[in-house]
Amino acid sequence: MSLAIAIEEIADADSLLRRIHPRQLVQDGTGNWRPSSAAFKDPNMSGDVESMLQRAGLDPAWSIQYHPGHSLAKVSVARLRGLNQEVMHRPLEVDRARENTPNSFHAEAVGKKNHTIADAIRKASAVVILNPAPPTG
Amino acid sequence: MQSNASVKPRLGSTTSDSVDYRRRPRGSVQDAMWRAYQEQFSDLDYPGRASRPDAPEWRSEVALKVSELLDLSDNWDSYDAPPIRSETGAFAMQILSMFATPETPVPSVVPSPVGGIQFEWHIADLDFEIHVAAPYEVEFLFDDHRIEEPVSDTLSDDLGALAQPFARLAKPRESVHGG
Repeated sequence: MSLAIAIEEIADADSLLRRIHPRQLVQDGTGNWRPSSAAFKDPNMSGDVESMLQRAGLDPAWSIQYHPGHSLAKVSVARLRGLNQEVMHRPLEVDRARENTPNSFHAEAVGKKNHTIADAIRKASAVVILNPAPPTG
Repeated sequence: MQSNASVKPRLGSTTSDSVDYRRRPRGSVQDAMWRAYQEQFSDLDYPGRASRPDAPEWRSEVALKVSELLDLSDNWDSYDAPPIRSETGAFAMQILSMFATPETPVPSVVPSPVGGIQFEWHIADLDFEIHVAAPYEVEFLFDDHRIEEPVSDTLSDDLGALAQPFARLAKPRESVHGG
């Protein structure tokens, strides 16, 4: 079955929005909560393209709509590409994370993510939404 | 009162005597791997057993967190992450048994989207992370901000490279230059 959503180029200036599971928040050396580098280890790392959401008039919170316990981080596409990640628009006809509805904003950062690269992605990330009740672990 | 003789106790039970970390993974291949793993690490220092006398106080607390991660189901991160296998949890705990001392601060315990477990310490000028993707598949990152470059490596059966970062964690304020 063909996908009706057009594949778009993703600009370097764009960002990917990625949900962060509550267990993937850690406290830094100053006691502030931030994502762990472990959240960015997936060789096919999914995210939603921020500018596409904006053009559709949607808030970044759309990305965690079905996951209220999650936080949301964004990562620069240019930085991902600088870390040898291939960033591609991959719209989904059926997104399990959205109760099997389509997700035209979905993209992936594809490439090996060893510990150094995952940590570099983590350092390049910014927290967009921090769940107010982080875990204690 | 129902007999619990046939019930496999889970880590996190209220009595330490009933704690059994050795939960069997699912599937025949995994079963075989698990048996081989148990034979190789038959001296594992499980929570509930008599621990090493110099084991850190937080050991059971961390073992409980690891056990909770083993209960995460498929797609736990909403990005199709696989569940974490029990042998991965056992191997991760074995690393702590080998290197952590009473002076070692309590780590954060984090699941990874590849079915791994990551321990993390972020204190003072030190960042230390150990990722266990599976038994013998270990990566670490150690960054002492007072010295030059972060150290990162991939380890398998020889985990000796973890000794120095653990030693630094235990005494984070000591001079790194010996003076």
